[in-house]
Amino acid sequence: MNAIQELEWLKLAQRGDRAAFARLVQAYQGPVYNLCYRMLGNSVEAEDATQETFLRVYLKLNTYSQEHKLSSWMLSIASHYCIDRLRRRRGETVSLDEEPVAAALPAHQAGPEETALTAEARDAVRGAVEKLDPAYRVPLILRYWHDLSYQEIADVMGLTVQAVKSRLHRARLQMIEAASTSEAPLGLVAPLGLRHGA
Amino acid sequence: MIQHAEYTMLMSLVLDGEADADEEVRLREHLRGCDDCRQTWQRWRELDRRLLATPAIPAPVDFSALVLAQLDTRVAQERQRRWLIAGLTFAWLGAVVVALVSLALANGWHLQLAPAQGPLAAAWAGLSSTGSWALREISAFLVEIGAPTIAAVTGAALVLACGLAMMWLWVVARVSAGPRALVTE
Ligand SMILES: [Zn+2]
Repeated sequence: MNAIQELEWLKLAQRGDRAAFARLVQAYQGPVYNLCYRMLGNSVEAEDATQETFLRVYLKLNTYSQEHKLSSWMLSIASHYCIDRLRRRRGETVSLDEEPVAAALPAHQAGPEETALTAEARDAVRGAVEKLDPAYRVPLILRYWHDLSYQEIADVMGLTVQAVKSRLHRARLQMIEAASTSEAPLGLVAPLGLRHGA
Repeated sequence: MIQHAEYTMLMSLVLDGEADADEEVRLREHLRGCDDCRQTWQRWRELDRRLLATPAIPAPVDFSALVLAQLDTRVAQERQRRWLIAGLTFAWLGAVVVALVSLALANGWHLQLAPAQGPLAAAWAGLSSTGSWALREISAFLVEIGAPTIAAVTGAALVLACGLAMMWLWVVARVSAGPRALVTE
């Protein structure tokens, strides 16, 4: 999808054209779902949150201004919704140790780098990300799975670049800290050897 | 490690590709001379590598149809919410205006605003005497009826209003659910 086409769909969708809106959903469902999954940690809630995000996007379409990238705007709506949801979840007992969907998805072709991590190691990463405070989790997810710059993360989260800098730093400190105290560590303490295979 | 906290910030910036040349040199020079930080740096790089190697999760289904199927309901709910807020705001403002006007009339404040002479003054005097006559009549009527009756009638009116509001909400919900049923079947 190029920028001109996107703008075209956006304008049509703002006038109520639902087919055009469906095109926008198709174009951005990947990143939005991925963010929701990384934030919420399970596929059921992630699917629900993805739908809710796009419904909110539709209701707010006319408030969107083009000074932000459309993707940043949508990710911002998704991350705010997920943070709200995590807040409401606190106190409830929700199992975070669900079946990891990533390993079970057949359609996804693993790249050469990805095969270097075993399913176990991937779960350890996922678990460590889920234990992060949501305020630190969002920038980390945007940095690693959405490849956004500090400036773009700042746009999505409504923060200064300085705040993004410090949150990513804190996120890494928290992860390293958790890895050195938990029973199923990220394998970062010692030895540092990688687990190849599978 | 803890006393070298400044350098973990630099590590973070370098890993994100957001450090400038000076910062990068500063980190490398420190690492050359500090065993603790070198170890930390190795761990930070391994964490970075593992995060980068963890794949993104593709969307399991096409969400567009699922979202479109819910649009009508959501749009109707949103409209209903806005009407409700507008209605409540309007009712509240109306109540405040009525209360203020009644207070002003009862205290005769309107007489001070009246123009001294001319045709407007005559019209104003007529209007205000009608107003205060109506207020007097109403208060006399209320006194005649008595407090218990007024309380009972007010209570009944409130119950009736709530009942009507609930019925209205039920009708709106039914009407907005209509199109959705068509889409999902
Ligand atoms: Zn040091």
